[in-house]
Amino acid sequence: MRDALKLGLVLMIICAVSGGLLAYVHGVTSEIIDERKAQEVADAMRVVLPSAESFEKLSDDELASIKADPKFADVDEVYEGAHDGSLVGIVAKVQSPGYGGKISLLVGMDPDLTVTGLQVLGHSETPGLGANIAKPEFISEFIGRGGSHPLAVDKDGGEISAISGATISSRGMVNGVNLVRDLVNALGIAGGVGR
Amino acid sequence: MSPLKAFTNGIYKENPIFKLLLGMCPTIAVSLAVSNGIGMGLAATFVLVGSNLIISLLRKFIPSEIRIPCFIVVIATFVTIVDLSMEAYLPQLHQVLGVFVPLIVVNCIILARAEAFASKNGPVASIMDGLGMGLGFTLALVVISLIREPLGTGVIFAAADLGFDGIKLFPAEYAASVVTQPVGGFITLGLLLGLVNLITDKKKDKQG
Repeated sequence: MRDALKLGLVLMIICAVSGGLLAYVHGVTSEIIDERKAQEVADAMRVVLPSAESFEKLSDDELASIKADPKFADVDEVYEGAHDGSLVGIVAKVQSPGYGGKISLLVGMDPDLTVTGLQVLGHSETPGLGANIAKPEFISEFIGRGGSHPLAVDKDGGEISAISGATISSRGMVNGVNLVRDLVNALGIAGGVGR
Repeated sequence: MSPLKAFTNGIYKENPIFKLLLGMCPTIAVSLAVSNGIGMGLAATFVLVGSNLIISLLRKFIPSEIRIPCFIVVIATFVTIVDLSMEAYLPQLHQVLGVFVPLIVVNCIILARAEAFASKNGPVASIMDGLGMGLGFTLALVVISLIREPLGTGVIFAAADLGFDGIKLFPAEYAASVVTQPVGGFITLGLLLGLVNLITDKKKDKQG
């Protein structure tokens, strides 16, 4: 009985010290990490929608009404990009299921449904295979594509050459971009007409 | 065991992959590219040295009945602190090594060395053991990647995170993509283990 108490006490001390340390480190680092992530997103938006000079984030209420449609459950954030007061496109942060987990994408699309830019914000695809979706060569497959019809990988009869050995990851990217396409349609800004 | 011996021990005589057969999962997963092997190896070395040091310092305090849960808590805490600090203060390094950090938590080499070495030896010897084991792990990963990367992709030394496309040896159409699958990993590892055993046996014969 005494032994059990002593063992429990030692384990408790170790866990408490570990927990305290983790809480401290998290407290110090989380601010820096969040700040840097926000900075990265801001920089990335300018890259994926170069024609816009200012971005306005859709409010939480508007986003909630979009996400009410189960199809758009994976839409995280939507920004409207404007130039000289007229809408030139949207930037959307979406999640799309890949092979190893969800791929986090930042997609820029103009009202003609053409992809103006694309960035992979995070993924957990296989290093050396699916991880190649983040490479510029694959991303450039998407830029300027779109328009009248949804995108698809070559195996499915589309124009995007899938990465060999990583068709599922490639499809995940295509699905993410097509989700934004549906979003532009649903927002009623397709065809260059403002809200 | 002298510190120097503890260091060299991990590199060949008790190489974690070729001799102790520890950490097979991350080995199969990351030995697809030499750059991945080096990244994973160095990140694991860093964690091994740190966790060995902490376990060695705490070895008198931790009762042997509950040593395994204590080791796990200490190692998991250490890995998380390293991960968070790296993400906050060394973002570039984190971008390259970040994907390997969660894999280190499930790397049994770390727990095995805490159990077999650090809990029985002083801090200096434990650091040397961590260094040796880590470098032995790195070396083994590089050797396996040196075989798998060119056979599977036709390219060697590719490092996507550093913006280096690697040296093209032959067109990708002729590459055997099965080598990049886990199957190819097991076959490569098996053949290498056989080779290492052959060399070790020959040495023993000569001595005997």
